Amino acid sequence: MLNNKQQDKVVILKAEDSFDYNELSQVLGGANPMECDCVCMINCNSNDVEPPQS
Amino acid sequence: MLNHYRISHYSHFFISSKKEYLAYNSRSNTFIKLDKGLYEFYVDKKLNNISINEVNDSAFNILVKYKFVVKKEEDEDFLLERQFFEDRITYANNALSLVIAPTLDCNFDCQYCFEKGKEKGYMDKKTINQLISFIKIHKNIECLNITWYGGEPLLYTNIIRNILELIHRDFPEIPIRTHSIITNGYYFTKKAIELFKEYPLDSIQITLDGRKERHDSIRKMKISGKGSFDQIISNIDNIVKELPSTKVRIRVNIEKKNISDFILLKETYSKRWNGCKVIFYPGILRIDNKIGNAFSCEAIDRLEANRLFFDLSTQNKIEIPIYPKLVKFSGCGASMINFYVIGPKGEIYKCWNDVSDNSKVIGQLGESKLTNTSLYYRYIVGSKWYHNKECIKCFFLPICTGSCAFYRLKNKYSGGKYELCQCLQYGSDMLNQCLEYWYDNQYKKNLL
Repeated sequence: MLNNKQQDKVVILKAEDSFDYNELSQVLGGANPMECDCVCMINCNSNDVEPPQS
Repeated sequence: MLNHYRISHYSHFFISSKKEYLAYNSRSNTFIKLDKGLYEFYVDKKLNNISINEVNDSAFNILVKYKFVVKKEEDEDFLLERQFFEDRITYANNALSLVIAPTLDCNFDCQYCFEKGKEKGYMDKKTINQLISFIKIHKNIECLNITWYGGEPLLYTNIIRNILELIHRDFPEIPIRTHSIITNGYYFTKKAIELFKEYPLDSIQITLDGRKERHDSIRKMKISGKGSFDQIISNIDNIVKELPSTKVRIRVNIEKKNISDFILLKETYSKRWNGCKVIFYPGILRIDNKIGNAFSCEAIDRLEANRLFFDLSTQNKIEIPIYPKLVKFSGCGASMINFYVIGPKGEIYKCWNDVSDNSKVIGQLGESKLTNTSLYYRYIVGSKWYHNKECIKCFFLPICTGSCAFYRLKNKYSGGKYELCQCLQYGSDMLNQCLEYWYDNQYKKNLL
């Protein structure tokens, strides 16, 4: 059991908002094929590799 | 009655190199710092799989809110939720994504090209009309995603124009949501620029095979053997000037021997195209071994790639997000019902890696039924993460972009031994390194 001294001993460094699946309406029906993982495209961690604009 | 909780399978506790007590939860993508006593309390619960009684204090409430501590069956329910939404996207029919290859012919003669045995020729009028009829069959679509592909699609800009004109004529109410092209860039001349001024592209992908000398030794003209680097760079100069709204994605192919080429090209040409929508990214070449059932030792493997990206990022050579991202859909186009690759003879594929391989044709434009339903079902259903025991139990599942369906099917049905996992699980310290780096270099700096 935690005691009172242990309260507030957690610091949130980074937290995402709760996962809102309603956003899915924006992607339903087809991911952008350019995001597809394939030989001709970014083929490793496609979401992570692409840097912001140069 | 007290609710019993336990440490989530998606919770990860570690002590940083600076002796800070940290925890990360992949399901909520949340990163926290703990008091030493609290850290030891929860690590003990995790290691010994001890249930935790509900307690009304702020620390406990935070850990519950961010899914570090969960009720008994919550993790299992999360898997069902993920599968539900994966399927919802897979079977949605309100958009149609088409990758169209007007030709398989190419002006280059690259040794590694995977489109072996490709035939010359181009998409004729009958096929184009069948393509338009194919779009009409998809009555529920609200938008189109179009990608031009090949061979080299710009060998036949007239066909691209013809198809775009017909789409705009016959489907004025259906917008093209994304419009892109994959080209070697050599023929992105005035004619192509004029075409895409009329029908704007969101993005253009052009591949460089490394620095000029290496690129020219690989990407040379089929007939003359002449290199193509200078012409492509000159064409990109024109693209950024004439099509300033279009993103140019320059893929720099790398293997173990030429990693420095990426840095050289990025540094050189980022200055040249400063302020333009040009993105450089390393393309990790997938080179098969001699038997053709796994990647060769020349290729950079997943773990090496992760280390490479981490190093490049921490040296400020590339702007890759170090912190993980939650993923909503771990599949690719090939694993969705409304995604098709159309070859120049009207042959239909699911994956663009399959183009030119007759055994991978799933159907034909103009015909009412698919001819290879087995392959169709394998891509759409069989390639899913929830049919893979390792994925189901993987800590990284919530932040994994999924593995390539093409290679997953090769492993499953053709004796392949390809290492596909894209996440960090095979580099045991990589997650800690990424999180700690983010903490030290982004979180702490923002506090200053």
